[in-house]
Amino acid sequence: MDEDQNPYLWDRTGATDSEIESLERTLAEFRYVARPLEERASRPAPATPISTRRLGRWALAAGAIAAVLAVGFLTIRSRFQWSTGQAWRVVVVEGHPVVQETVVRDAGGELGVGETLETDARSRARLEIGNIGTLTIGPSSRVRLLATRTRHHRIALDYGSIDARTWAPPFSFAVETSSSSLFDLGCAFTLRMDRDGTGVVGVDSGWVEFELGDLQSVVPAGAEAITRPKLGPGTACLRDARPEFKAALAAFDTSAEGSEARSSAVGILLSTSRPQDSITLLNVLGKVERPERERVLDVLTRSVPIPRGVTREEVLDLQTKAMDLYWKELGLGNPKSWLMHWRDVVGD
Amino acid sequence: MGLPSSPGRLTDEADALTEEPVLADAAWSDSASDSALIRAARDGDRGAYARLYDRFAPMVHGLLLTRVARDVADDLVQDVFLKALTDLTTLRDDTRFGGWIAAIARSRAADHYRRTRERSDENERLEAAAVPEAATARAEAHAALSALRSLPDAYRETLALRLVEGMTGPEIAMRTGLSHGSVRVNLHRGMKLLRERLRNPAGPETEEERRWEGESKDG
Repeated sequence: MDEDQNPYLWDRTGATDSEIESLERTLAEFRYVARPLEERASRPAPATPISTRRLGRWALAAGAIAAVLAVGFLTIRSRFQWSTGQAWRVVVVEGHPVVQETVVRDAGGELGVGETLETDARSRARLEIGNIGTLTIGPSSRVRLLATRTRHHRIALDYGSIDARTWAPPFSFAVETSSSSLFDLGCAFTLRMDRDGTGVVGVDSGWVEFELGDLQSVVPAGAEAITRPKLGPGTACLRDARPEFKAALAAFDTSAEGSEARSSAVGILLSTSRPQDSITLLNVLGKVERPERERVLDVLTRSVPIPRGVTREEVLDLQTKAMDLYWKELGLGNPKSWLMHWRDVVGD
Repeated sequence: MGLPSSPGRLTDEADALTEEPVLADAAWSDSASDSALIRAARDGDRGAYARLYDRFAPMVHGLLLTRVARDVADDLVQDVFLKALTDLTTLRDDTRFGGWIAAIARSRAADHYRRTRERSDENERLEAAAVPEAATARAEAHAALSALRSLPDAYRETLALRLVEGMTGPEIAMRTGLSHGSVRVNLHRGMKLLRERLRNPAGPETEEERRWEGESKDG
């Protein structure tokens, strides 16, 4: 193909160039993996020799970080203390948000348990989630404060959009919607809900878990997931996944198990996936029957090999230990590592 | 809006849900928003600097990877941002943050090489050979990275951002400050060279390669 006419090289549209796609898969192992400063200071020394100057700098950095963390931990416990039912502070960001049909003054106001905050098309507000973070309410939105106490803060998003930034242990903050419950595993996400219960969550940092009954979707940073009325949370995918991949995923999530539509959707997912879409494929692996599971695993292993110490059969059997190790192999971090995401809420 | 009957329609609906501004994330998605983050960071907003880090770290990493070994690149990313934070007051034009921090990255890579004399390819070949199961796939990956690193500067950087870091052409232009035209030329000419080098790794530099090296687009 004439390179100048290769839209796939430019922005991955058009017909796939198999050689470029193969290079993408091959080179993906060198891709940047976000790493918090604390992890860098405690990481084992690399195999290649390093200068004593860098060793000295790391020692200083590690010492400084240890001191900061020591002080930090002394205050963490008090950080999460919150009196049961204590109202949340409301800050006017723009326009005239309303609490219980009363316009919030420019100086700010409060939202108590059971109360409703609404914004019109030209208003935005910011709520302080106890003392663990902030929640920005977008235009044309309505939220209700359901409960608040130490490490247990709950709101309902009836419709509209929110942008949450929290730094707290998992499940300290949750959002109820008409189609799913969303649990914050720490610490930054946006959620938009339509009035009929269709919504989408996009995660900027940390993880969230969407849940309806025993159906769960764990969504890491850089990914999104749709929630649908009666169906609940869909499968997570990267925000920049190809449109045809997202369409196939939607078909997969909305079609019946064992149906031709679902099988067809799996085929499209496999043929349009990129190396970085392995998070979706790993999720799909757990949602299909054995014959299709083998197809999915064949494609998944092209970009993420089966972890050491795990056999193909163990993965195909969806054994817990095997799947946990496979998740780890994706290099997305630990859903429990909320402590490492301090950068996203510094300054509050 | 009831339950949609086709996946395409649902995707459109999902896209419609995300098209409207979703607060802070959409507001920070273009160069004007980068400038706002830079201003806030300069005023001491650490959260704003953390957002800049998240946005530009992949680009910085990709540039470093074309010059130093992978584990060194991983470390230098944070060094680069620490340096940039320290020098932020010297940035004259906030809209050129991408090009500015890219220059810091190249400088840090050069410093590292001067201090350690470590050649990226040599150490990674040793590393690959030391792995007991030096699988074909890993050898292929290192060969591909080595071929990419052998390209002229502008081509290898742009291709590293595209093929390694997974950025699209428009994203590369946005982050590096290069024009779309320059990125397009670098990608297309670079890819043509890369294909030839992968097919003929030991072949001589062609006249065309020498000419392109002189004409490679740096924006």
